[in-house]
Amino acid sequence: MTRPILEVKDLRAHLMLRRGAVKAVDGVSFDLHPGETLGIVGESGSGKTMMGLSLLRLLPRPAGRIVGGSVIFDGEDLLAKSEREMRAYRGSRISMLLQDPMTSLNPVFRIGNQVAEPLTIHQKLAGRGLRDKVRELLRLVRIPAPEARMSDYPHQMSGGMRQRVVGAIGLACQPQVLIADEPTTALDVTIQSQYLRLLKEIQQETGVAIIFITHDLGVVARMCDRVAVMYAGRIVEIAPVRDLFNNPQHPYTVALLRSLPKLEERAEKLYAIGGQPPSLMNLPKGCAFTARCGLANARCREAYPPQVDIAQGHMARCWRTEEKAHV
Amino acid sequence: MSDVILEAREIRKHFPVSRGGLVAPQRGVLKAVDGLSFSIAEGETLGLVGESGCGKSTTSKLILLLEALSDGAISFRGKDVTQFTADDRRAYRRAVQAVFQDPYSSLSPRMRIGDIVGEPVRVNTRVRGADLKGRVRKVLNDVGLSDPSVPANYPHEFSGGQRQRIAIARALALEPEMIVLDEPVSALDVSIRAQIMNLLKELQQSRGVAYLLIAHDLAVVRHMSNRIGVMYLGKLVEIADSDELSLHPLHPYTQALYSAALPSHPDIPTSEIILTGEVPSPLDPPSGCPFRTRCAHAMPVCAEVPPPLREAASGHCVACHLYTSSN
Amino acid sequence: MSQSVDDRSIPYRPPGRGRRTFALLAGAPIIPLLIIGLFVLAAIFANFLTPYSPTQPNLTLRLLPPFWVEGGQLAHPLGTDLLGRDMLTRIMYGARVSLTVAVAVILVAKTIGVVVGITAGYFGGWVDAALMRLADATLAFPGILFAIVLVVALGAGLWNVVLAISLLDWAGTSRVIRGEVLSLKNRDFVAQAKVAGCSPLRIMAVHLFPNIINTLIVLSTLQVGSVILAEASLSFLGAGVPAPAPAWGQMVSGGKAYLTTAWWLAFFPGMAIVLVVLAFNMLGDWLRDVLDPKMRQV
Repeated sequence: MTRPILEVKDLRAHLMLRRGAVKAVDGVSFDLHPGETLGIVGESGSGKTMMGLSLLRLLPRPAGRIVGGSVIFDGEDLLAKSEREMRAYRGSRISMLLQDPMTSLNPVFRIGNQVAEPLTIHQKLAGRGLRDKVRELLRLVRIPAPEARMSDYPHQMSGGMRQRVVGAIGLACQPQVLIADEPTTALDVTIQSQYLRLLKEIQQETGVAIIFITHDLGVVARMCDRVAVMYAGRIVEIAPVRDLFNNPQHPYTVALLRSLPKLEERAEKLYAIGGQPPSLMNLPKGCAFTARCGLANARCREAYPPQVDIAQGHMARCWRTEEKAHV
Repeated sequence: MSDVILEAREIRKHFPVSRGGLVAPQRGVLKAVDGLSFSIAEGETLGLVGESGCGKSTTSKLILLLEALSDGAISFRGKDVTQFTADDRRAYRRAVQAVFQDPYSSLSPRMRIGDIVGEPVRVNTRVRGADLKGRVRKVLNDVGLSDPSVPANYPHEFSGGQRQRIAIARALALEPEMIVLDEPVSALDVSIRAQIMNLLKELQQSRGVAYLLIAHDLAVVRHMSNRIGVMYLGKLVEIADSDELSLHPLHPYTQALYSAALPSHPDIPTSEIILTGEVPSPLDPPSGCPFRTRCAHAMPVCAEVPPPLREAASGHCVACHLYTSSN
Repeated sequence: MSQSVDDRSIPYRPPGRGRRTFALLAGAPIIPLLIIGLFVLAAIFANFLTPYSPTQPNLTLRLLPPFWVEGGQLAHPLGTDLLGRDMLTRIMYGARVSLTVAVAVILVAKTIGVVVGITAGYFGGWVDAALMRLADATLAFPGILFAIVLVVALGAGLWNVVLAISLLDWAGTSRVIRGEVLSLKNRDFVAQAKVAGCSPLRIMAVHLFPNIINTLIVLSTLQVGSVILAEASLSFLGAGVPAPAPAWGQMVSGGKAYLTTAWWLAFFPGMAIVLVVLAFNMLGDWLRDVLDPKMRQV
C-alpha cells in the first residue's frame, strides 16, 4: 500500500456563534491515497462541507476555528503552516471545487482570465505560454472550441460548461488532491453523468486523488473507491464502496441505503428514518444517532462508541456492531 | 375506469423575448411549452420528467393558472378554463392546489403556521373561528405535526422537512381533487425524502387525491407515479405506465436519460448512451423533431416533420419517427 | 398514523431566544438613543421643564450670553435672544416643532410611499410605469424650492409644512419598497397565495406588507434626519412654521446677522439640529445592521 497523500487525524472544527459553539467537525479521521476517490457522504448538518473547508483552512472567519487534530499532506502538517504558506498550497497542490457553478465564477471576468489566474499566481506563467496552457486546460475538460470560448463570460455558458470551467481552474496546477464539494448537485441528469465521467477520465490521466463530498449515494456508487459516512460531525462508517453497499454496519448507513427509492424496482413504501438530525450545538452525550436508531440501548446513550473493525478497511462506530463483532 | 379530472390539449406557452443591444434588438419567441397534451384521472399520479429548459415548471404554472396559455386548451372536468366564470374559477382553486420545491420560501415568513394553513379555507369558504381552527388542526395532524403548539409558531422555527409537511397540510386544507407537486422533495435531505414520499402516498390512498408530480429525479418519479411523461424542449416525447417506461423506454431521449441515471449500487453496470452536443436553446429549437441534433438514430425525415405522439404499445405513446412507420 | 411519519413534531426552537434579544439590546447605540431621548422629553415636557415662556419678550434681558461667558447668568444658561427670550427654552419648544413635523411627515410620506411602492412592485406593467414616472417627476423637482412654493401657495402653518415635505419624501421610499417587493413577489409563498385564490389586495396586505416592515423601519429612521433638515431649511428661509413659535431653522436665520457679536443666537439651535440629525442617522445605521441578519434568516 502506498503512503497516503493525506492523513487526517481527529480533526475538530467549531463555529463560534452568538448562541453557542457549533461542533461542525467533531473528531474526523481518514486517509487518502494517491489516485483514489474517497466519498464523504452526509446530509445537511453532518459537517461534510465544513470538513472540506477545514482541510484547506478556509473556514469562515472569525466564527470558524479549527480546534484540534492534524492534517498531514504529503508528510507536512497543514495546520502548522502560516497563512502565507497555506496560500501556496491552495489551488496548486490541493484544490477545491465548490458547489454552485453560478457563484463560483466571477461574472465580470472572461473565463480565459479566470482559468489563467491560478497559473499566474502559482506557476508565474505569462504571455503565449499562459494562453497555450489555458487552451490545454479547456481541452482537458472537453470544452469545444477552446480558443473561442476563452473570451466568453460565464453567463454565456450553460451550467454544465461552467462547472467544467470550474474544474479547469481547480486542475490548472495539477494538484495532488482535489476536494469536490457537491459539484454536480445543480446539474441535470445527463450533464451530471457527463461531468462525472470526465472527472474519472481526468483522474486516470493525471493521478489526482479526489475527495468527493456529496449527499447522493448514487454518485458514490458511480465514482468512489472508498466511502466515509458522516453524521453530526463525525465519521460513523468507512469502507470500500462495495463493502458499504453490500454489508453496511452502522444503523444510519443501513437506514440511508434502505430509504432510497431505486430506479430498478418499485417499492410500495420506502423505509423512512424518523425524526431529525441533531442540532450541532447540543450534541448528546453518547452516540448522536441514538434518538433515531431502532437498535439503540442504554450504552448508546451513555458513551460514544469506539471504532469497530469489521473487515479490511471497513470500520464503524457503533456499540451494537461492536457487540455483534464479539459474538 | 376513473374519471378524467384534468385534460391538457396541445397547450403552448410562448414568451416574447428581445435579444441584442440597444442598436439592433432581435425579437424572438421562447417556446417554453410547445404542444403538450396529457390527462390526469382521479386518484392517479402523473409524473413529468425532463431536464432544465424542457418546460415542466412552465407546465405547472399553466395548470395552476399562474400563467396564461398562448394556445391550446386546459379543461377541468370537461369545462374549458378559458370559459370559466368567477365561480368556476373559485371551484378550480378549491380543487387544484400546489406544493412547491423550496420549503424555505413557500411559507410566508411573518405568518403563523395556523394562519398559513388556514388561508386557503379562509379565502374560499365562510368557515371561520373554531371551525377553522379545528380544520387546521386536523390537517396538521394528518401530515404528522400533531403537537398543539405548531399552529402558533412561525416558519423559521421548523426544519425543511417539517416545512414541507406544512406546505402539504396547506394544500390539503380545501380537500382538493388534485395537487401539483413541483419538485416536492428535491430540496430536502435524503433521509427526510422517504418520510415525505411515504406521507404523500398515504394521503393519496386515504383521500383519493390525484397528483401531477414534476421532478427530475427518475427514481423518485418512478416510486410515486402511475404514469410518467418525458418532456424535451417543451414537447412530450414519450408517455407510458411507470413500470413500462422504466423497463422499456422507447424514445432515444428517454433511453439516454435512464441510462445516465446514477446507479443504486456500484455493481450495476452503466451502459450509458452518450449524448453529443448541448441542449438547443428554446429560443431556436431545431426543425422537425427537437431531439434530432443529439440523436444517434436521426433520419432525414426527422428534420422535416415533427413526429406525432402515437401509441406504440398499449398505453405507451412515443413521438419518434422510428416508431411511426412500420418498423 | 403510521410509524414512518415524523413523531417528533415538536418544533425546533432556536435556543436562548431571550438571551438573543438581550445581546441585541446590549449592542444598542447608547449615545444616539440618549440624545434622541433627551430631545423627545424636552419636546413633550417643555411646559414643566422651564419656567420661561418661549414667546414672551423680556426686553430688560436682551442678548444675554451663555452663563460661562462674562455677563451671562445661570438663570439663562444658554443666553437670551434679541427679544430677551430664554434660548434654552426656545430650543426645547423648537424641538416640539421639529419632532412633530418629523413624526407627521414620516407617517404621511411613508404611508404614501409604501402604498405606491407595493402597488407598483406587485402589479408591474403600466401601473408600475405610471407610478414610477410620477415618483421620478417628484424627485426631479428641486426639493426646497418646491416646498417653498407650496408653503407660499398654501399659506404658512405646521400642517402645510408637513404636507410640503411629505410630497417630497414619498418618492424615495416608494422606490425602495418597490425594489423589495420585486424580489419578494417571485418567492414561492406569493405563488402559493395566488394558488389559494387570494386577491391581489390580500396578497399585498397580508403577505407582502409584513415582510417590508423591517426595511420601512430602517428607512424611516434614516430619513428623520433629512426631514428635520428640510423643516429647518424651510423655517430658515421664512417659509416654515410662522413666528413667534420657535423653530430651530428660523432661530438660526434670525441669528445669522449676529454671528460675530451674539454668536449663541445661531449656534445653539444649529447644534440642536446637528445633534438630532446625527443621532437619528446613527440609530438608523444600527437598526439596519441589526435587522438585516434577521431578515436573511427568514
